[in-house]
Amino acid sequence: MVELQTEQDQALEALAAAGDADALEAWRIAWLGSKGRLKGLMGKIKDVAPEDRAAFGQGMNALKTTLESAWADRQQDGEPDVAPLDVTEPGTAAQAGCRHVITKTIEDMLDVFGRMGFTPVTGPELEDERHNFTALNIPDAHPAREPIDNFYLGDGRMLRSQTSTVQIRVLDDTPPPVRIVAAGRVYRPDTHDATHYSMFHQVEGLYVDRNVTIVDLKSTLLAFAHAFFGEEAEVRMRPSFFPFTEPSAEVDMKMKIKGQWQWVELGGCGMVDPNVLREVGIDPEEWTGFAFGLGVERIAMRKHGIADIRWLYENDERFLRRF
Amino acid sequence: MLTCVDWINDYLDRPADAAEQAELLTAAGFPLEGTEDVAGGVQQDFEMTSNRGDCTCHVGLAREIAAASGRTLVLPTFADIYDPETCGPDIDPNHDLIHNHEFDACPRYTAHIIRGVKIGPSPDHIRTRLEVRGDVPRNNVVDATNFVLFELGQPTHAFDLDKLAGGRIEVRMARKGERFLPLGEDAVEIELNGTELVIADAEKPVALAGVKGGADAAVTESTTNLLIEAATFDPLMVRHTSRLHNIASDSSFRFERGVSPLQVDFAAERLCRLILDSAGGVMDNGMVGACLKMADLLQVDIRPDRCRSLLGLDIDDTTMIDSLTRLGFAPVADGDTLHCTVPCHRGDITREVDLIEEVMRMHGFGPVPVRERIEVKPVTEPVDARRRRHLADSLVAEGYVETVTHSLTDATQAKALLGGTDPLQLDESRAMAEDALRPSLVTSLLKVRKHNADHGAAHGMRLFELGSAFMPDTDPQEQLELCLIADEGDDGIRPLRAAVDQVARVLGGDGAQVRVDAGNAPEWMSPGGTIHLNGDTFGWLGRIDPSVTAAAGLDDITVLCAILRVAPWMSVGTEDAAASPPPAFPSIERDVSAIVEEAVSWTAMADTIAALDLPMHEGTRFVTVYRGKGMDAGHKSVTLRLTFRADDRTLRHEEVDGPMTRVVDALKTGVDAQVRS
Repeated sequence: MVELQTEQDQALEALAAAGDADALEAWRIAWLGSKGRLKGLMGKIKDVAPEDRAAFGQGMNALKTTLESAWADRQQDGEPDVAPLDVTEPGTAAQAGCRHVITKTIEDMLDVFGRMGFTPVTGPELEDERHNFTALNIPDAHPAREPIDNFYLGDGRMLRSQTSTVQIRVLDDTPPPVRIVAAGRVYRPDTHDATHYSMFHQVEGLYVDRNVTIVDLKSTLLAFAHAFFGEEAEVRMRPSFFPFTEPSAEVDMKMKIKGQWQWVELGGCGMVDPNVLREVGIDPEEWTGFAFGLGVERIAMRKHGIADIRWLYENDERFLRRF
Repeated sequence: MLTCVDWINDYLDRPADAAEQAELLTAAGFPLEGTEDVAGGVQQDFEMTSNRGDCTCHVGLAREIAAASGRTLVLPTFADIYDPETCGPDIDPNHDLIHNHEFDACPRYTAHIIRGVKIGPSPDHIRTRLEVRGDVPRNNVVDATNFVLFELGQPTHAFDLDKLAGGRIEVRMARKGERFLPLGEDAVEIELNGTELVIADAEKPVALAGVKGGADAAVTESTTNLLIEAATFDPLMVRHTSRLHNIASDSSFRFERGVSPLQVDFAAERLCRLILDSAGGVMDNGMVGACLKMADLLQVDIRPDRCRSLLGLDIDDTTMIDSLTRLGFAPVADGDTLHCTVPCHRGDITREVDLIEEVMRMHGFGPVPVRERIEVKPVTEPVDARRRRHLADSLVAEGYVETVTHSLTDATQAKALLGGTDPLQLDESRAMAEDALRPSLVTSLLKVRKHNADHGAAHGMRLFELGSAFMPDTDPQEQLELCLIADEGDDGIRPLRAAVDQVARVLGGDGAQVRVDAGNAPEWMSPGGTIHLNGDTFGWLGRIDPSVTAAAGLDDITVLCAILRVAPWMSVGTEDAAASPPPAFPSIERDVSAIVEEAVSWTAMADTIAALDLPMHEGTRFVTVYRGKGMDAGHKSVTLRLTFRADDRTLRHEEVDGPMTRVVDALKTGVDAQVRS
């Protein structure tokens, strides 16, 4: 059956598009003229099932009336009808969804590091102890391996406790120079409270090349801070200890929180420990590197004034839509 | 580590006030955690790193301050305890006092005997130092052991000699089933399993080695004769025992970080002197020591050139030598190398890079210069990184809210998702409500839906998450899953399907073909269907079985779900979209309404039409479906819209009449449709 509504839509659309008198006349001939479309449509009544012909006829009449009246309106003033519009009415948004503040923060961080030549890579969350510990210079007896501090599966595997695992996965397969950034979930059995959760996210950077130094590390972290928090941001490093870097340092960045520039502890960093390089078959006398790990939750929470880490994983829509 | 400012100054040639101590120690790697004025002085709390057990005492921190500020460390001096003038008789060379059966777990065990002490309060000096640190003074003997612990970092223990059965000490492994009552007001008796190192008398354990003394041989007000223990224990053994019985102490904290056998004697002498001075008594002359040959101090070399190249800092040899000297490494220049001797308290220094770190600490990170420009080799964003972003953005546009939920879930729920197969699970030692690795993200999303329902979320919610799912019987077991859930509304599966199509376009590129066949879906979908992307299995979609939503606490909401196994497509590049000229001629659209049985799927109808391979047929779209009044039970009326177009002319309506007749016939014969034309 011919779709009269479709015809009407097409006709009115064409009429609305007709910009001047010539176009209007052309439209009249095409649709309402003696050899126009309406006439053609009327001829199709013979194709319509007899019991439906009355309805079809009524529909045709209505269509004709509509089109003639629309054309007459345009003839009258040359302008389409202007509906009233209150320009001060409040907005109603299209019902889009939203990104999660954690994945968005990761994405923004990866963007910055991407511009600095770091290639984003990923690694599995279900890991073995070599990647999570042994290859990272954390020997069997190290306290970091305590069952109470890790999610073990009981078969030599575990949920990774740090994204540094990806360093090993990449260096196992890729000869230096290597400049990567890995973001993802890590797991540690903390009791959940406002500042602890047994799952959180890290962004891990690794740069191994000839002659990479502490100066490169500090320069990279500062460049990130400037790009991420603004040109006034600062970076402070304090000596610390991690098994897989030496020298090691804590990284603080000065970021703007509610209008005030404040120091925030964001993670750890250091020069890749020679034992880690040796483990993946890289000569530490020829190659050196730096690594850093930044806490995504810490950044997102301080940046947005999120007081309770559990809000991030409750996923209350009203909360998620704030970002 | 809680400290007393004055106590640290006891070991410096020039005192440093609280602020300076805080600044110097923070810069050295021991950040200040808090400062408090308390009766008798200023208390400061410093964070410790696990490699620096030597700094968990006031002398250790004073040593760091001295090295960092050019001060001199002044070790405590005291009168010789072995002075024959003041000592009692020599210890019998044939004594039967110490039996060390476990040299691996206890490399050095020493004892001194002091007789005739009078238990009473400690002198003010000791009491104040301990009180400022936050410790509660007990008596002159116990306080002396604590004082030495926090002065020198050497845990010690005083036994009541008269309570030691047989008057002797056995360093041995516990016997399975032995019972032990630790010291302390709230202590409860524990049963040992035989893997613990204990200090025992002739009959029973009197201490968990390095962890906790026992109540049985404890010093009390009536004690007169003491056996003073100063020893060192294997850090792993101490940690094992401490964790096994959930007993942590200042001693175990210290021993877990390593105490050198070479440190023991000085601390023992210091302790004996403090007790003799404050509790009186006379010491049997001599020390009973049971130990293997004492190790020599470790020699480690550092190459100044290597140090400079690793740090990127122009630190000259003289500065380096000065830093290492101040830290006690006694560097000796030999060509392009400095030979260093590691003091016994620095068990963390075994390699050149450890010394380089010491040079770095003394130099400080503050003065490290920053380059304005960093060398960048431009890299292309990997396909999967770009895909993650595009996936998320396209779903947001479809109204989906992104969630991040925990990867652990309830084991029963996980098993149900797997159709009865056991999920991957954490080991049994971890008693947790949610200890299964989720085989799909869907239960997590239902939990989020439930949370939002409880907090008044309107109907029509759409959620998605991209994350790892863990399956016991796939390879690899960890698979990237994109999970979508949506409240079911009037439009049935179609809004969800639109989102799936969006995802498919992101992953499959231009011309991605999505096809859904009813059936072959997980059991918990009813009904469910299999999604194919360009012919390969891509996932499943359907309605979540009401029993599953009810189990998640969602009684009133019908939830649709799509599980997409996106991993195989994440890194596969797609062809650039190929342009085609915009159509030059108008199309003709024809609708057809077909009444079919419910069981006839859209895919079956679309396939039937596609199989005709009609000329000039551009596509078939879904218009609407009608169920209800005027329709036979178990039937529905589906309206399809076919578009026809010719490339070279405006089609005439008569030209599509023939093809439409074929469509109607095909629907009648193919899916048993009643079609009115």
